[in-house]
Amino acid sequence: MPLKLAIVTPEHEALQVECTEVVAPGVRGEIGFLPGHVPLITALAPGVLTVFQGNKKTYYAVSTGYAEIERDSVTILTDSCEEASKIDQERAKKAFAEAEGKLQAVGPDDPTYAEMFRRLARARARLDALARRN
Amino acid sequence: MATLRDLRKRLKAVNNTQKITKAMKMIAASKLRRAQQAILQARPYALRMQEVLGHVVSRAEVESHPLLAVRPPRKVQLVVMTSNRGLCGGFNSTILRSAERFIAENRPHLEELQVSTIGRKARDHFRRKGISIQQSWENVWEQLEFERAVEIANDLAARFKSGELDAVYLLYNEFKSAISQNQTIMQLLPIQPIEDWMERQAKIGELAAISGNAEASQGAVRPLVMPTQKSGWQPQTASEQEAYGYEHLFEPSRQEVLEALLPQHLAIQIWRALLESNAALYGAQMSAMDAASRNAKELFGKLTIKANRVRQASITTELMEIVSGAESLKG
Repeated sequence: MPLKLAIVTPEHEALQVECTEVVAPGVRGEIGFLPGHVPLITALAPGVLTVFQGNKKTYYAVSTGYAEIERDSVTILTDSCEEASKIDQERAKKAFAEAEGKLQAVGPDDPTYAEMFRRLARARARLDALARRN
Repeated sequence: MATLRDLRKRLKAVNNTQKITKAMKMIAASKLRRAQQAILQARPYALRMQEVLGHVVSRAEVESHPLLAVRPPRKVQLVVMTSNRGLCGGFNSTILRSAERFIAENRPHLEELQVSTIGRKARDHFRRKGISIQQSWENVWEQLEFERAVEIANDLAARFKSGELDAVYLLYNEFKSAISQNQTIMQLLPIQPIEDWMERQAKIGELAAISGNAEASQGAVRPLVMPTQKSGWQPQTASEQEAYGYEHLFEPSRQEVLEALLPQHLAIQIWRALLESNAALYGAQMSAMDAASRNAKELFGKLTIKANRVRQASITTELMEIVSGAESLKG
């Protein structure tokens, strides 16, 4: 497994594994990292991160953050990271509905709009991670 | 003179109090362990963040970026961080006293000095004193999440960018050890780099030294001096970049990445202060409860002796009565 992956959140070091490929949710669409990738720093949007270990795929719901790749190591800095299998579907659905309702309640001119939008994106990422896994 | 019954009642009350304080001490100790753990776990993120920032920031941006701009401080905000509850010794009162000194000393030569609060104790204190609070962040301690730090950071950053504020300082208790806290004032904006995240913090003693206020560091209550503004950014030099042998690609663009990274960096600073203050709180609570348990034990001992004396005195009186009664019957 030639690619070293570290996912770090402010709350803890979420993951440190070796893998063969990482697909991350970049702000301009999904971006894949293979060993020997050119050095790159990219911003990440809330979404699903896929870790390939041979044929085994693991899905994570990540929040906004950054990825830095340098030769054969990928570092993901993100506000939060949850493995798909640890997400409670009912709770995720409820959070999504709640965020959607709140977003519609405040107009785009509201100062909290950006914050609400961010919450909605995070909730959607969790649901997406669950959907991919199943 | 207290009756035996009163004394027994008090004995029981003291004993119960001691049980409570002992239990609270144990709870604080276990929460402290968790809080310390959280500080340690937040460190890798901060360090990596610093690394990435080092790759992104260039010298030109250090001078021009709106969140790094050093302006003469005219409009300043002081964010005061306390806990929600008491029973933690001088944890909150020292912070609040310092905040008041800071306000008294700096208000005269500032155009505007706003006060914001995190934690119920600070909010209630300033409300009582009739000092207007710009903003009070609620429910931070109930659910200590990084999200909260992000919210606070975004709010402050927006107001700093708009020119509404020239500088933001945060006053909080830094965790030193389980038995001691250090009140610290940190410059949040303009953004400063995290160097070594434990050592770097501007201690009050050092602050006094910076402003040439030598005798201040000796007094029991050291006055808070506004830190001199500084921007200690060390962008990568050309030779360092050469040593690397390559430059990073950026997506979407270097500018946009930086744009997003800096507020994040600010959030980290706030997050760290939250964690430190949280750990310091449990440390303070632990020692306060330890002292209370010891006092209760002492009081219990004293009351026991007193109760025994009263009991014995009454037995003696009774005996005397019986003896003298028997004597008089004899005659």
